[in-house]
Amino acid sequence: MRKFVFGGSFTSFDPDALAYITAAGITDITKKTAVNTAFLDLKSFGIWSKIKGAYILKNGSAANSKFNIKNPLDTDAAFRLSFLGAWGFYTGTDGGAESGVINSHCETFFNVSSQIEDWHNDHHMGFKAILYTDPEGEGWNVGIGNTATGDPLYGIANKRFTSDARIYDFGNSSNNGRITDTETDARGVYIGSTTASNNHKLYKDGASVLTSTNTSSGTVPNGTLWFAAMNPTPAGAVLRLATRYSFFTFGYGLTPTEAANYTTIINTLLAAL
Amino acid sequence: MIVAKITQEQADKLKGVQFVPDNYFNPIEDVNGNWIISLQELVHCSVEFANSVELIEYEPIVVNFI
Repeated sequence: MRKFVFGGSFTSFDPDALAYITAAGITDITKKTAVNTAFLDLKSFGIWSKIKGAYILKNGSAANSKFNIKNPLDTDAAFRLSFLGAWGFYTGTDGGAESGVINSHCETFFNVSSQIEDWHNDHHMGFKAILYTDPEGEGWNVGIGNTATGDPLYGIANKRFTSDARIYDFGNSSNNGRITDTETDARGVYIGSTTASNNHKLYKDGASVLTSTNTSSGTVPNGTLWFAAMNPTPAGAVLRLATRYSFFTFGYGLTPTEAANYTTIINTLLAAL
Repeated sequence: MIVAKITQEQADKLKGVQFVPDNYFNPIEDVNGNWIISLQELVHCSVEFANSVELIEYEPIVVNFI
């Protein structure tokens, strides 16, 4: 009997990676492999369980970029993004989702008071901003809070247009709930992370750039996290920071090692897509 | 920055409507109380609709941001 020996190899995809690849419509084998590797790395470094929502934003359209890697169902309950207002979608080296300063933001459908155990003391939110050294706007890249009083505020501003302020808000902005300095180049991976009532850090490209050991007051608002803007709770003016984004994430607090590893995984993945 | 001035009735009709899959119209008010949408959104409206609107300079609501 003749035996046939088949050449080549078969890649066994992680089931979560496969679900995302299918939902996002990724067909290129190199890109599929990159997604699979990233998912496996997130799991092996203990980051996967810290993520509530994460989004690859260089898939070329709202329809392909909206899916949460943790649960790529097309439902609000899965925290699938809705893109509101003027957005542009790009692929390739500078691929990403670009918001406008007039009326763009994303609804995450993630309620910070009811869909995570203790947002005030244990959360992260972050993104990768690309292409532009100076975003447009005077608001935030992500967040929710009372924009009239600053109590409470949870959000990140990587570089405000007028002041160049770089900000991480983690409670009452006027009572030990804000860390801020001046930014010169708004491109990079930004992660704001709180792992305890007195442990707040803003990371840029995997390194801690702002730290606070203060304890801040703040009652977590009953509302959803917005991306590319702050969700004003109660309702008010929507304050945005408009730039091109290639990744967005939120979830539980990350340690310095986890933030550094997450940044490396994000950058490796995005470089391959 | 130029935007499209629309009526409140038009804003009510557009709000939450998809202009491409998973991207929704988001009419907002400017500092003068005008309802507006971006030109990026306007290009997805019908020719008749686009011809009915006035193009104006965007004047954002000024807030004492924190």
